[in-house]
Parts: sequence; structure tokens; C-alpha cells
Amino acid sequence: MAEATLLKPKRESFWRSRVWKRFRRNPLAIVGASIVLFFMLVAIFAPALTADRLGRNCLRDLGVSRTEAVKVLRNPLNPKFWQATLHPPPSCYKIPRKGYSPIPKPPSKKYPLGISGGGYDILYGLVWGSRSAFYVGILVISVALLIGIVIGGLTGYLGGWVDNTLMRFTDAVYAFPGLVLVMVAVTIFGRSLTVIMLAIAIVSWPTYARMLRGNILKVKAQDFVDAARALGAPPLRIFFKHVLPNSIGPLIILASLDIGSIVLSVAALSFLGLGPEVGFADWGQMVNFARRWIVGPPGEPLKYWYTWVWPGLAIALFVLGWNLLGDAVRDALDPRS
Amino acid sequence: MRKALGLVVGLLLFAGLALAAVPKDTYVYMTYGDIDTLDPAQAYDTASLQIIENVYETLFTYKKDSLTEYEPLLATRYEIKDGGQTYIFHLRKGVQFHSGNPMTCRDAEYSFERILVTNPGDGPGWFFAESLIGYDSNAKSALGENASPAEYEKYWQLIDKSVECDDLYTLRFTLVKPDPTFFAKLLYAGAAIVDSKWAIEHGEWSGTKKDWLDWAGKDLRQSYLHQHVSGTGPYKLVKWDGESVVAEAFDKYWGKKPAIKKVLIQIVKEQATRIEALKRGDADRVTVNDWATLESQIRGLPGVKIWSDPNWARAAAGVIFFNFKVEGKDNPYLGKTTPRDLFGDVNVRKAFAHLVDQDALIEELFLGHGVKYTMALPPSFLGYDPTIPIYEFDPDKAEMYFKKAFGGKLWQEGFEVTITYNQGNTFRQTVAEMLKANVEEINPKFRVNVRGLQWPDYLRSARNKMLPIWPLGWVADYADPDNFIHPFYHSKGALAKRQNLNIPELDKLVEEARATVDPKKRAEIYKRIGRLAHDLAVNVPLPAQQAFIVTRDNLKGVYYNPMRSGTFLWKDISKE
Amino acid sequence: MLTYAIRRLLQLPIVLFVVSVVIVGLLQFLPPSSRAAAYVKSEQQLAHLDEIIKQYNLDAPFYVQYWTWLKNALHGNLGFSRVDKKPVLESIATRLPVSAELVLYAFLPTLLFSIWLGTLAAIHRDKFLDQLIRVMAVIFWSLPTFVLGIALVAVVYGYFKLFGIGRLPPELYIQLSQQEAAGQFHFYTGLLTLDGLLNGRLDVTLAALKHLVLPTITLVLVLGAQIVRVMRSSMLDELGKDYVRTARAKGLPEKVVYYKHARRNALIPVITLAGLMFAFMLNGVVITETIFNLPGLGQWAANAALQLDQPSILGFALFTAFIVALANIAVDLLYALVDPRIRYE
Repeated sequence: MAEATLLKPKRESFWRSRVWKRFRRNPLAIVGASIVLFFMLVAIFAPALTADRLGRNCLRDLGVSRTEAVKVLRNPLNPKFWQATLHPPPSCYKIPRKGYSPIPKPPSKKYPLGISGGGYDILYGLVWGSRSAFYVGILVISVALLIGIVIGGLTGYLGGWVDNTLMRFTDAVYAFPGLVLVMVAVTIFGRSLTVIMLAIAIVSWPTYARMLRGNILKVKAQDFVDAARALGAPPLRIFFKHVLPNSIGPLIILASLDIGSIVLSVAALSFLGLGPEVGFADWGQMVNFARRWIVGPPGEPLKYWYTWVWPGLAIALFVLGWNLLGDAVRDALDPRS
Repeated sequence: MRKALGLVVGLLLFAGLALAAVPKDTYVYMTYGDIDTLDPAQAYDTASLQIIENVYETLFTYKKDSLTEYEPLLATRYEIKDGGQTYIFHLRKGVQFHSGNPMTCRDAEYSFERILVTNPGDGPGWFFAESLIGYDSNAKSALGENASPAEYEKYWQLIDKSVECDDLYTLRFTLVKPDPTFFAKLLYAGAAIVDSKWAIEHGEWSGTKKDWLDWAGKDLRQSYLHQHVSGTGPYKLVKWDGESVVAEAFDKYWGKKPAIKKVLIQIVKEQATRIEALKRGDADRVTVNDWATLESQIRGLPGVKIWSDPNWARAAAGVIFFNFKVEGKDNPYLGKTTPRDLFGDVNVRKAFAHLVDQDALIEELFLGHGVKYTMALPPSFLGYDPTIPIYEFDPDKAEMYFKKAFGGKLWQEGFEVTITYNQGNTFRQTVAEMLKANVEEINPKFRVNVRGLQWPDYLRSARNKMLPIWPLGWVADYADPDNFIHPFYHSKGALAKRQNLNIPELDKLVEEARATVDPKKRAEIYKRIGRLAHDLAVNVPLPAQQAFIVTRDNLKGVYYNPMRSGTFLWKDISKE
Repeated sequence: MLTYAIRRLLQLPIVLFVVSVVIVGLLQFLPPSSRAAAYVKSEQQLAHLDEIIKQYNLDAPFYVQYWTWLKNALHGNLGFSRVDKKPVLESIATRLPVSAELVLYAFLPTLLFSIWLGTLAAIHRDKFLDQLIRVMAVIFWSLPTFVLGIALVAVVYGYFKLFGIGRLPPELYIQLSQQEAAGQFHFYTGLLTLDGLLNGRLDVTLAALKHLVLPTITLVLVLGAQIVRVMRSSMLDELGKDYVRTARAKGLPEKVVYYKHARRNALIPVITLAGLMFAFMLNGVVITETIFNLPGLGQWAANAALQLDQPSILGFALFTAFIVALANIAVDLLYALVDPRIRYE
């Protein structure tokens, strides 16, 4: 239920706006923003943070030897630093394995968060996993938004039979068993991250299309649109100048806050054995590795806590951060409060 | 609101009062495999066969945990005639089916002919058909949909002649040629005698020529025997709802009355859930996936018993296959400049073989409880040769072989290849990743990718012979070496065919073994095959984990027979 | 309004048609050998792949396969479920009660619990209680369901020896199966709690209830968290509206303002969300069903999708589409009732 800004906003500097003021004064907003910012930094500097533990293939594809990795990859003056940060080879997303034993190993100096079953370094998985989390989240939301805006915009603007046809189509997609469609798509086209993202995006756009349509209908009914119409402005101009901006703005903000929850969908897929390929740095998969270690040996029920606490915490914090931010933005945009 | 909450909490606590463990005459087993069918002519998976082996019976069967000693079941004795081409079975008298019908030779004839007539592509019928009529599939698939009536007639004659009743209690099999594997095939749980009268009454094949062709390749999962059972076994089916199976002791069973009267086989997919049920006593036995779980979560649990023995091994073998000549346009598993016959060079195969660290695999994955294989044959089988050497983990030797391969060109130009495994198989994944790490260590120009394939993808790639190198194994259908040697080492074998294996000498030996009735001579031939395969590094046999069974500690009489799908029969166990 | 509803209902078959075409179309991207995945389970069967493809007609062209399926479907035969080893309709009929029973017991507590917390949070906006509820809600929502589920199984079921997994205790299940075979017990509805009462077997009802507790708690915690958030923001909306101010100005007690006025209106978006959630739950909550071993629709659908079992996937998709579409129509109608500015011509 989107809170559209019903009044046409006056142009004013963002930093002086009431919205920003309200946002700033909300302690939970600050917490949320800090969490998201923290993950963003971790994601951006993942190569530097894990320079001491990169996998063989990652180093090879970067053209860096293990001995000089720390020096090179933590030095912003070195071009390799930028290459690794901006465009790391895909092999870096694979968690390097320390041995193959299925039994987890507790935190140690070299592996401060421990090693998960199968020899996967938990710290590495979490750091690079934050990259995949943003990557998946942002891409899914952008694709879903794009489709949603095109379809929602067309229905809202044109109305009539176009509206009816497109909305029935939207209903059909909305009525799809999302998870099953995603599973079928992933089984057919393979477990690559791209397929997973596209599949999730394709089942999640209808929400945005409906939201946008609703917003447009609301804005269309506003006085200032009637006023513009009375002044004789052409309908297309009214739509693009007045209606669309006022409907899309809140939609984009709200949609972007769903980024956090995409991680959960991927985690569910991992549980069903359809997440990214085994060994890919992805939080959902890491919790799934830990699935059989939630309970420890007799007498030590929490012996393997580190296998699921860390990735679980990462997911929870990530979602929490986006949610707090989301609530705060919603509150701040709400003119009544 | 508060009142309602209080009520809910109260109700929950009341309902939550603990319950006693499973009663003494009941056996509850929680496992994960979906039961596919209860029709013996269709069942080809352990989950289905572990039910079938308890509700149906075969002519002969294994004695407890032995693979070499047999005991009579529905037959009392048998004779082999015509140099191994004719088998005569004298059937037990006074045996009743669950329906109350008496068992006679008519039922036995019907059961075997039914296997030959229907013989679905995804069923086990092919290995009976191979011995009895010389085809390995049903009439429609062997002759085509549009064969002439005369051709079909000939096929029917083959079926009709191969299984005959000499009298009411004498069954005669006539084979196409002497076949040393035939008796072992009759021990397969699916070679069961079904109640012909009852089956025909319920719309199954009439047992006559009249409608036999309609039943060729018919979808048996939609017919009566798929869900209903009338066998002669000590247990009778109460309910199968597609998930769990409930069975109860059959009170007119001809043999000894079993101690366990009620059985529940429950499909529980999540291992953590199964383990908790075992702890709590809701299950008498659960399936545990591997040694790691066993040692780190099960051992030491009060009231739980782990049954294991260094000699327990599944009747299975797994190897790394090399494709001698990779096929498929735009093959994604091979680098663009990499030669398609990369593994056609024996040096490359040997180099890879020397990079499989068998000790590390056994140590890390099986916690030391593993068995190394010298050839693709379970060690308990006839003809297994433990003296054949195993390629040791030796990077130096591997380097030497790589330098020799393709006249030294490979070492200079490098290669790129993808090792594939079927998604979800941790062992095969580890083998692949280990091999990758070890190969890439040798020369930076060697590139090895590892890819897990979904089953559908895997099927396609394997069928098109597109995979260059892949670890894979298989479990015995029947306890005869031919069930492994032919598929693994013959150019037409089900598995070897997909690696474009073509070594005439091997083919000749495999065929020779097939025609040799004397077990000693056969064993000798198998040993030669194993040695030749090792010298040519046709494939790399992989170690297997030692088997184990996890039960509550009041369960008695547990044993391990690798040819039993439930590894023991329900009738042999009891509870204290 | 009524004509609108009827028209939407008449459009339902079109939605179902689109759904089926999309799924069958998607499956055609697979070569026949991959389509055999639901038939070929082991390496042994691989040797006979060509035979299997022919036997089950897997290499027929798209339109032929679709036409065959459609013809049968129009005659009420949705095909044979390979993963369930029985006809698709039978699968739905046996699995729906399992999912439905879970939903029946999980839905109301979820709704009540989260409405209560959501209201509480809104009333105490930005106070400690509000922050606590919000953070807890997000934590439960973001906790992967399987972690929560396995933890519950381990702690409550395994350690404290309370409640159960599956639908019934093993011995009771065996007993009922035997009595069913002997005609002494009838599964009239498939809902065990109800069947227990209908057969005059209170012990069955109680045992079934006991086995529903843990999955219910899991669902309440995971799904409730979402409704809490919607309820809170909806309630805040209402509290900011003029009529609330008026009510306060009139000197009505806070409690009356909150519970009698604001909450009533705030419930509307929550109920529409709840409608969709009901449909969602009815279609099976795969993870909860897997962990607590409930053979419901979700598990079936997941298996079908993994093995690309076309008839099952189609059957499930159509069923889901049907339920969700109905819920959608209801939601749309509710919108129109609530907000007169939205008109359906």
C-alpha cells in the first residue's frame, strides 16, 4: 500500500527538506543506513579484505602471485587493486576450500570465523557473499521494476481494453506459483546466478506493475491534474510531466528497499538444492552448508554454532538494515506524520 | 485476547505430553528415498525393492549376509541341464498368496513371462530378457512399432518357450545359450512370483497371447500391481499412500513366523529430522548419509547402536571415466583448442590417474572408513583381483606422463577441460575439485573447470557423449561380475559406450567371460581384464565408503547383505 | 460490482490457459533426453534412455504434447504424476488436506498474533516497545525458515521431547492404516483432526494436533513477522487521519480511539494481504513441509520442479493459479469497497 506523495512537491534542496530532517532524527533510520553502508563497504573492498586468503584460480586470473597478493591488492595505487575491486574474475566468487573434510572446524587465527563443512572458509564466503547479495538484489529489483514500470505505466495511462488485457496478463503471472516457476527455470537453464536472478525478477514484477497502476490512478484523480487538464495541457504531456513522476518516485524508493529480501529467496532456493553452484560465495548457500550442523554431537549441542550463526547473522543484518531504512524512508516521505 | 492465548498455551502443553517409544512388535524405519513402485516387473531402485523383497518372494535367495551361499525360498531345489542352457526348479508346495490363492507353477510362469512381455525401458527386465530370449527390450522397442505380425509372433514364441511348466510344481527355463549369470539374476528381488489369478482378475495382462502385444512397454505405473500386492512374502501390504508404507505380518505365511508384526517405512527427507526421531525413539532405524555425520552427531547417543564392520561394502563400484573422443558441436566442456581426443592418449589418462589422492579421499571424506578398488568390481565379487596395483598419488610421475603426451605438445600448449559431476553428490564433487587443484598445480597452462550438472542436463550430455571426464558409479543389479565388467569395460557396455572406449582386446575378454560357465576360469579372465584396464588406465577406480547401519539398541538380528535393498530382511530382526 | 466479479471469474480460464502454455513452452527448451529426468533415476536406466524416450513419447513436438495434454485436461484428466506415482488429481486430493490442515491451524494465530503486535507497535510508536517489536519482526522474517525449523525440531522435539514430526506418531499411523483396511476407520476429509472427531477418536485428533504445533509455530513466526509490519504502518496511517483527531478532540478515551476506531480501519489492507497469504500457504510451504515431514502440496511441487515432471508441474501450477486468482479477485473487490475512488468499469 504505497504512500504516494499526493501533493506535487515544491522544488527545494534535499538537504534542507523536511523529509531529510525527519529521516535524520530517526535513530532506527541511522542504524539501518549504517548497516547497509557497512555491507556496501565490505562488498566493495572484498578483494582487499580477503587478499590474504584468495583462491588459486582467483589469483591466477588476476595475474597476482600469492606472496605479493596482500601488498598489491591492498594498495589503491596499484592498478591490480582497481581491477580486483571493479571487475574481479568470476573465479574469485568461488570460496577456496581448506581441505575436503565434511566436518566443520572451529575459528582459528587464520580462519577467524571458522571453516564450514566441506572446508569452506566462512569469512571468505561472508565477505564475497555480500557482493553477490548486492549484485542479485540490485539486478533483480531493476529488472522487475523495469518490466513493472512499462506494464503498469501502459495500463495506467491508456486504460480501457489495454488496461484490461495487460492486467489479466499481470494476474496470470501473479497467479503463478512463483517458487515453482523459478525452480523449473533454474532446472532447465542451469544454476547460474543470472538465471536465478532473471527467474526471480520475472515472477516478482507484477507487484510493482500493480502498485504503479494504483499510484497512477490515485494521482490522476488529484486536483492538480484536473487543473492542468483544465488549462488545456495535452494528455501525453500531463502524463509524463505530472502523473508519471509523482507515481514512479515513491515506487522506485519502495522497490529498492526490497533488495534485502531477495537474499531470502536465494536462500530458499539453496535449501531446495537449486541455489547458485556449490562453492559459490552466497549466504543462503552457506546457511545451507550448515543445515546438518545445527545440532552438535551428544553432550555438545552447540559445538558447530559458527557454521550457521555467522551466515545467518549476515542475512538477518542485511535484511534488517534494508528494512529499517525502508521503514524510515516511508515514514519520512509520509507528509502526515 | 489474553484469555485466548492462555487457552492455546494450555492446550499445547496438554497435547505435548511425551509418548512411549515404538512398541516391541513394530519396526519403524525412516529413510529418504522415494518408493517408485511396488510392481516387481517395474521396480529398479532400492527404495522400491526394499519393500518388494519383504512382501514378495523369489525362487531362491541369499543366506543371511552371504553372497555366495543361497537358500531355497519358493523353490525347494533346482537342476542345471544342457551344459547350462536349461534350469529346472522344483517349487514349494502348500504356499499361499496374501489373497488366499495357492501358489503353483502357473504363477511362476506368469510372473517371468510378464517381465518379458512388459519389459519397460526404465525397469530391470532387460537382464532377464538378455538371458532368456536374446533381446534386451520389449517387443515394441526391440522390433519397432510397425514390425510385421510374423516378427511379433516369433518374439512371442521366444517368450512362451523360454519359461514353461513341466507340471504344477516344476518350472523350466530354456536360455538362448549357456549363461553363467542366470542364477544370480533369479535372486534379484524383482524376480518375484506374483499371484497370477488375482492379477488377471484385477486387469493385468491375461497371461495369454491374446493381449500380450498391448502390454509390451505399457506404463506399468498406471496398472494394478503398481499399488497393490499379493505375494507370498512374510509381510503383507496394508497401505502405501505414495510416501510411507505400512505392512503387517501375513498370518498364513508358509515359513517361520516373524517376530516383528508391524512395519512402517517412512520417507523423511531431512536428515536432521530423522536423527531427532531416532534420538527420541520414534524410529527404530534411520538412514544417515555419511561417516562424518555418524561420527560427529550419532556416536555416543544413548540408546542408539551403530552396526559396522570393515568388510561391509555396498555391491557397487565407481570410477573416473575418460572420454576417448569427445563429441558434440560447441561442446562447453572442452577448451576451443584442446584436442577432442585428449584422453585418447594413454599418457594423459595415466597422468590424471596419478593425481587422484585416494588416501586423502578416504581420510577426509570417509574418516578412514573406506575401501580402495583395484578395478571396477565390488571386492566381494567373483574375479576381483586385489593384487592389481593402484595408481598412487604422485605429481612427479604425472608431470612425466604429461610431458610425454602428444609428443610433448600438450605440455607446451596446455589444455582446458571440464570435470562434471551430478549435482548433489558430494563425493564426486570432491574428487573433481581435488583433481582440478592437483592438475592445475602441475602446469599453469592446464586449466580444469569443475561443474555440477543437474540430472536432466547430465542425462543429455552423457547421452551425446559430450562429457570429457566424469566420476560415476553404479550399484549391482545382481551378484555377478558381468553386471560390472560388461558396462564398464566393453565397448558396447552401458557406461563404457559413453566414453567411446574401443579396445578390441578388452571386448574379446569380456565376451569370452560371458560364455565361460566354469567359475574358476571366469575369475581368471576377469583378473586379466582388470590388469589390462589398469595398464591402459581405461578408467580410475575410486574408493568407496564402508557401509553401516544405525538403529536403536534394542533391535536384534541386524546384518548386512549388500544385495538386499534394506540390507536385511524384516523377518530376520526382533526387538527386546 | 457483481458483474465485475462475474466477468473476472469468466476470465479465469484465460489466466489458466496462459499459465499452462507458459509452462509447457518453457519445458520445450529441453531436449527429450533431459525431459526423461523424471523417468530415469539411476545410471543403470541410462543405458535404455532411447527406449524410455520412445515409450513415454517424450520426443513428440511441442504442439502435439500440449494438445494431448489439453484434450485430456478438458476431460478432467490432468495426467499421471511421475514424482507421486499416481494421477495428478489424486495427488492434489491427498496432499491438499495436509497443506490445508496446516494452514487452518497456522493462519488464525498468525493473523491474531501479528495484528496484536502490529497495533501495539503503532500505539507506542518510536518507543522501546515499538523498536523491539520491529526488530524482532525483521529478525524472524529474515531468519531462513529452515534454520528456525531445524532448531525447533532439535530443541523442542528432540531435547524437550515435546510434540512430534510427521502427521501422526508411527504406531498410531500403523493402527489407523490397519483399521482403514478393515473398514473401521475412514479418512473422510483427509484432515486428521477432523477425521478423528468424525470417527469418534479423540486420541487421533489430539495426536494430530500435537504434530501440528511445531510447523504452526514456524509459520506463525515467519509469516506473522510480515503482517506485523503491514499492520503497524497501516495503523500509523489511520492514527494520523482527521477522524482520529476528531475522536480525540471529542474526549473519547485513548483505548476506544485505538481499538474501536483506528484499528478497525487499519485492518483493511492487512486483510487483503492476509487473503493472498492464505492462498500462498495453501499452496504449500515447501521448507516447513520438508523439515516437519508433512507430505503436502509444497513438497510435491518442489520434487516435480526438480525432476521436471511435466504433468505434476502443470497440475500444481493450474491449481495454484486458480486459488491465487480467486484470492486476487477478492482483494480487488475489497479495494473497490474500501476506496470509492477506484472504479471498475
